[in-house]
Amino acid sequence: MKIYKLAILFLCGMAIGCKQAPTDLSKTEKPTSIPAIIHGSFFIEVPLKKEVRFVGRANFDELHGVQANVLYPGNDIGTFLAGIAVHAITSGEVQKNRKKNIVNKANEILIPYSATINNLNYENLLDRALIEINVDSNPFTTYAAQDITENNNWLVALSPTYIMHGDEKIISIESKVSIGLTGDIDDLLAGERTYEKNIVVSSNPLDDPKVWLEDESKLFQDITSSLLAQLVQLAIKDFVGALPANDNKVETIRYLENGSKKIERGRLIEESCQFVLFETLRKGIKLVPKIKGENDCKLITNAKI
Amino acid sequence: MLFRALALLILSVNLFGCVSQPQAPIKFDSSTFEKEEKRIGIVMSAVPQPNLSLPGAECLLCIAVASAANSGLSSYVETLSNKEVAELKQVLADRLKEQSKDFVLINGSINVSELPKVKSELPNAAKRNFSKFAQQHKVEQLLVVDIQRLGAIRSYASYIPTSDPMAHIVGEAYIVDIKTNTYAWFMPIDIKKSSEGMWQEPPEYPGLTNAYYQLIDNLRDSLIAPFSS
Repeated sequence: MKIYKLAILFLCGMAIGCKQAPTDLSKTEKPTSIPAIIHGSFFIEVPLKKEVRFVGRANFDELHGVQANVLYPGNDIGTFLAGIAVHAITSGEVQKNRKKNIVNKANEILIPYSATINNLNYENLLDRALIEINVDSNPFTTYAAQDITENNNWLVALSPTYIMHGDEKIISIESKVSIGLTGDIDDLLAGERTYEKNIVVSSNPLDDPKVWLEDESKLFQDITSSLLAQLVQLAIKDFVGALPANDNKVETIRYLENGSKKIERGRLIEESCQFVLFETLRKGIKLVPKIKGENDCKLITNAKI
Repeated sequence: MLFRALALLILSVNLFGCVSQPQAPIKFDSSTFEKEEKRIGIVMSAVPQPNLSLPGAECLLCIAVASAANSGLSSYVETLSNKEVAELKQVLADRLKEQSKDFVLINGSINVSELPKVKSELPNAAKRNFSKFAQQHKVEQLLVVDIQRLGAIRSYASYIPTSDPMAHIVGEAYIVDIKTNTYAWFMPIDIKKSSEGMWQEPPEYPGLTNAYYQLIDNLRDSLIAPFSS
């Protein structure tokens, strides 16, 4: 009898143990203006020593599970529990492998672009992005993080991933962006700000993906650096409170992704004739293209975002 | 011995008799539909409240373990709105209006399982008799959207989950010709959508929430596609 009580306790423990603590999705406190101790400068840090991460957009809709009643060996309670444990482990491994296969298949779309991607590096992308940001009329200036010469400056840390959509007409950039003051925390004035958010920016869809590789892949390189520039600008504007406030109403947002209509719930921040900017349910930010036919201006082919 | 054989025979006949062929999909014939001048009624069954189903966890202890493991998710799924699904009736009406069809938007809902059963040898015969319902609303065809399940699904093999939770909608959409009680169009609905990114993000489960609304939009597109000129 004691063994059966232990078995029930074990199974309940498995059930409860599978629950996880709520994920801390973001932490952000936005200043109303850039503190006076800094010079309106933001230093951008990217993983310079790493390869530029480029992936295909995976679709996990095919990951249906098998539903079945399983007969576990039940000579004794120990065998029964061991049977369940082995099943749990193998089932987990099967799912993991299936996901891995889907990801690998999605990445095959990058094969024609592999030479171009191999020539990309974060240092060059950042240099080009900084030129674009500093030309735009922003109330702040940006520099590469390796140019920091003193403390008490804002550091913007990114680890971007580029994503080629399944129809090869859109490239997105996605990154967790962290903003904080450099230097010794003890020396900072009270009320230092920190910011952490996931941001996604997508390019304008092309009519013909062949254009990516024309003219020695010029458009591909231009768009990848431009996406980085847009992402950094969005993050900083959000951090300093320069984005329009959303009305906190959750609505259904429709946009273009992977060659088809994507639906997501979010809080609309701003929209133009071609793009929509919204806050996601995960408190991230997305700047994505509207669906053709739902925009009210003529799409300009190969235009920068 | 004879009694046992007879009992076995009766049991077998009952079991076989209960098995019926599911209705196969019937392609929508847009040219015929556009030419017909039959009055069509649009009706939906009562839209169920979203819930989480756990198929495969069927022993009593399996149900207890699976329910406990997914209690937070289950409670959340039950708070999702079914309003967008209920609005599909109006969406269909707007589409028929664009096509200048003579239609009636039937108030209330239809309970298909309470309609009288009918046996017919005609191909694509409906299994229920819609004539009385149609006569009440003075229509010659009925466009029925019958959503039977809404929410999320997570497959189990006894105690072990074999999938992440996915948004899930089950039902049928069809046009019944009242004169012949046969289907002019039949679309089975059994669609799933996985969560983008992690699904286990309580309390709002954003990935699964987005998948649910994406699925409703996909359903909307599937329902109006036949009526798009």
